[in-house]
Amino acid sequence: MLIEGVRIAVNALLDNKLRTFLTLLGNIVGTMSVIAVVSLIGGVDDYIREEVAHEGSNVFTVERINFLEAITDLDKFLDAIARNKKITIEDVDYLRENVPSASSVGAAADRRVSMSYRDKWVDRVEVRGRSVQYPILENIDIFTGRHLSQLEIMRSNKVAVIGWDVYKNLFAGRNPIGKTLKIGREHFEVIGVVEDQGTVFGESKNRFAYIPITRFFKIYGSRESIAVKIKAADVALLGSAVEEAEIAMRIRHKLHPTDKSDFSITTSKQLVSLWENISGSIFKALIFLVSIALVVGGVVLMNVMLVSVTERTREIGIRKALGATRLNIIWQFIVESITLSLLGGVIGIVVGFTIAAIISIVSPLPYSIAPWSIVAGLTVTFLIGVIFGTYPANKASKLDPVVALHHE
Amino acid sequence: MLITVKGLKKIYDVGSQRIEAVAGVDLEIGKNEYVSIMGPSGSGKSTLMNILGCLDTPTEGKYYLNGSEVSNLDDDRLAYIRNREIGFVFQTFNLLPRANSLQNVELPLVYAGVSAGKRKRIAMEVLDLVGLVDRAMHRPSELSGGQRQRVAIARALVNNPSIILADEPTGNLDSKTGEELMAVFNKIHESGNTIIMVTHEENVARHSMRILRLRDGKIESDKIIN
Ligand SMILES: Nc1ncnc2c1ncn2[C@@H]1O[C@H](COP(=O)(O)OP(=O)(O)OP(=O)(O)O)[C@@H](O)[C@H]1O
Ligand SMILES: [Mg+2]
Repeated sequence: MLIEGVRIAVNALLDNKLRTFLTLLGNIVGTMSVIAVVSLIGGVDDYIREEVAHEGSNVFTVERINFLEAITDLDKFLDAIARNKKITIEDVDYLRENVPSASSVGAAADRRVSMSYRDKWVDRVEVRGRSVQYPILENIDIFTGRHLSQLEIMRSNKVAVIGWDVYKNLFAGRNPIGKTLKIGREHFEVIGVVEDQGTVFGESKNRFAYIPITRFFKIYGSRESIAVKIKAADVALLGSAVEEAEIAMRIRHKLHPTDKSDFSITTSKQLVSLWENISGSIFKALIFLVSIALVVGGVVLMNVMLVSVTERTREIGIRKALGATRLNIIWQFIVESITLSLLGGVIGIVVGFTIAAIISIVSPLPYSIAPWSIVAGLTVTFLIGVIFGTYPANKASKLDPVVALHHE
Repeated sequence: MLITVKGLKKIYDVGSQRIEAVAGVDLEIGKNEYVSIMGPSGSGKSTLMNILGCLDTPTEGKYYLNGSEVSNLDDDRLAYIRNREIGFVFQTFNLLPRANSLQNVELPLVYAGVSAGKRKRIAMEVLDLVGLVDRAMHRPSELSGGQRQRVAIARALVNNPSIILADEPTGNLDSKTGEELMAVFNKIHESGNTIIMVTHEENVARHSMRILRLRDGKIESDKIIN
C-alpha cells in the first residue's frame, strides 16, 4: 500500500509540474535557508574552535584597546580610545614580575610594510616586533633555521624569521638562511622560516616576519602602544592570571578602586562568546523567518491539496465504489502531501548546500555540512506534509460515493 | 436468496419538496439470475441500483444480502461489502484516466489487500476473459468505448463478486458495440455470475432472464422472459 500510495502521488504530482513547483516554494525556501545558514555558521564555528585551540586557550592579551569592543560595546570602545594609556615595554617587565600564574609574558608590536629581496617584492606583510617568548605564546614552529635569540633582542640585531609566503615569494624555494632581505627600507638577515600556517577566511596566515622588538622600536619609534601577551601556566589558572594582570596594571597605573581600568584584557574566550552571540542572533532570526516560510508553504500545500481533492472527486468516488475505505483515501492523500512536502525539503537541502558551497567559494567564509540540519529539514517537511495534508485528506475520505461518482 | 428487499424507500428532501425516489420496493433475486431493470427517466432505477450496490443506504426498509442485513451499516463495512460482493459497471465507464487497463482492473484487489504479484496474475486472467490482454498497458484514452467498457467489466469481475451491477452499460455505445458487450455479459452469466442491469433498450433487455419495470419509485411489473 505504501509503494502504491507513493506511485499514485508521484503520478499526480508529475501531472501538474508547475503547480507542484509553486507549492513547494515555501518548503524549498525554508529548508534552503536553514541548510545554507547552518552550513556557513558551522564553518565559522569550526574555524573559531580550531583557532582558539591553536592559539592555546590559556593565552590572553593586555592592550590599550580591545577591538572586539567596537562590536560588543561601542560606547566603552570610544571611551577607551579617549582615555586609555599607552602600554610600554616597561609594563611588560612589570607584568612579568607580578603575574605569578603566568608561565610566559611577551611584548608584541605590529605594522604592515612591504618586503623585498633583489628584484622580488611582497606587499602588505606584517612586520612583528617581538620579545623572545613569541614561539611559545603564538605556538610557532620553525621550518628551517632558528628563532630569534635573547642576545639578538638585547642587541636589537637586524635579523628576521620570515613566514611561508614571504619565503615562497622572495626566495622561491631556495635556501634563504643568511640572505639579506629588505623590510621597509632596512636590511635584515634571514635566520629562520616558520612552517606553513595555512589560510583563514581565504587570507593567508603566512605574510609576516618576526624581528626583535627592540629593532622594531628603533625603526618605527616607541611612541605607539604595544600589546602584552601572557600565557597562563595552565588552562585552570587562566582566570587567576587574568585577575593578577588586571590588578598589576591598575597598581602600575595608580588607579583608585572606583576608577575604571584604562587598558583592556582580551581572552580567546571573548572571541568565542562574541561569536556565540552573533551566531545565536542569526539563529533566532533564521528560526523566525524559516517558520514563516514553512507555515506559508504549509498553507499553500493545504490549498493545493484541497484543489486536488476537488479535481479528483470522481476518482475518489470510483475508488470508494471499488471498496476503498475512509482510511485508504486518507492514506492516499496524506502520502501525496508528504511526498510533495518532502520533495520540497529535498530540493531545499540540495539548493541550500549548493548556495553555501558557492558562497564559500566566492567569499572567505568556510562551510561545513551538519548532518543534523539534513535530518531536521526532512523531519520538519515531513511533519508539514502530515499536518497540512490531514484536513484535505479527511475531507476527501468523507465524500459520499454516489455524489462523488456523478461529479463532473 | 441472494438479495431480499422489503419495503425499501429512498426519500430526498429538496427544500420543502419530498421526493420518494424509491417508494416502497419488495424484491427477491436469486443466485445466477440475470435481471434487467427498465422504466422511464426519473423512475428510481439508479437510486435502487445504488442501494443494491451498497453505495447508498435506504431511508426506510430492509436489505438483506446473502442473508445478512446491510441496510444500515457504517461506511467502512459498506466499503468492505462493495469490495468483496459487488462489481460495478457504469454508463460512463468510470475508469481512472491516468492508470492503464491492468492497473484499473487491479484496483479492487489493491483494496482487498492482495499482493502485487497475485494481483497482476488475476487481473491478466480477467482481461483475457474480456479479450483485452493485448490492451493491458493502454490507458483509457487509448481505447475505444467498447474496449473501455470491457475493461470496466473485467474490473467488476476481478474480485469474484456475488453480483454484477450495471447501470446503462450500453448507454454510451453504438448498437453494434452494445451487442458485442451483451455477448460478454451472456458469457459471464453462463459462467455462474448474477447480473442486474439497468437499460432503456428492449434489445438489450431481451438478453436477460427477467425484466423489472419501475414507475415513480415502485415496481410496475416483474416478468420472467427466458
Ligand atoms: N441526490 C438526490 N437529491 C434529490 N433528488 C434526487 C437525488 N438523486 C436522485 N433524485 C431524484 O430521484 C428520482 C430518481 O432518480 P434516479 O436517478 O434513480 O432515476 P433513473 O430512473 O435512474 O433515471 P434515468 O433513467 O434518467 O437515469 C429523480 O426524480 C431524481 O431527481
Ligand atoms: Mg439512472
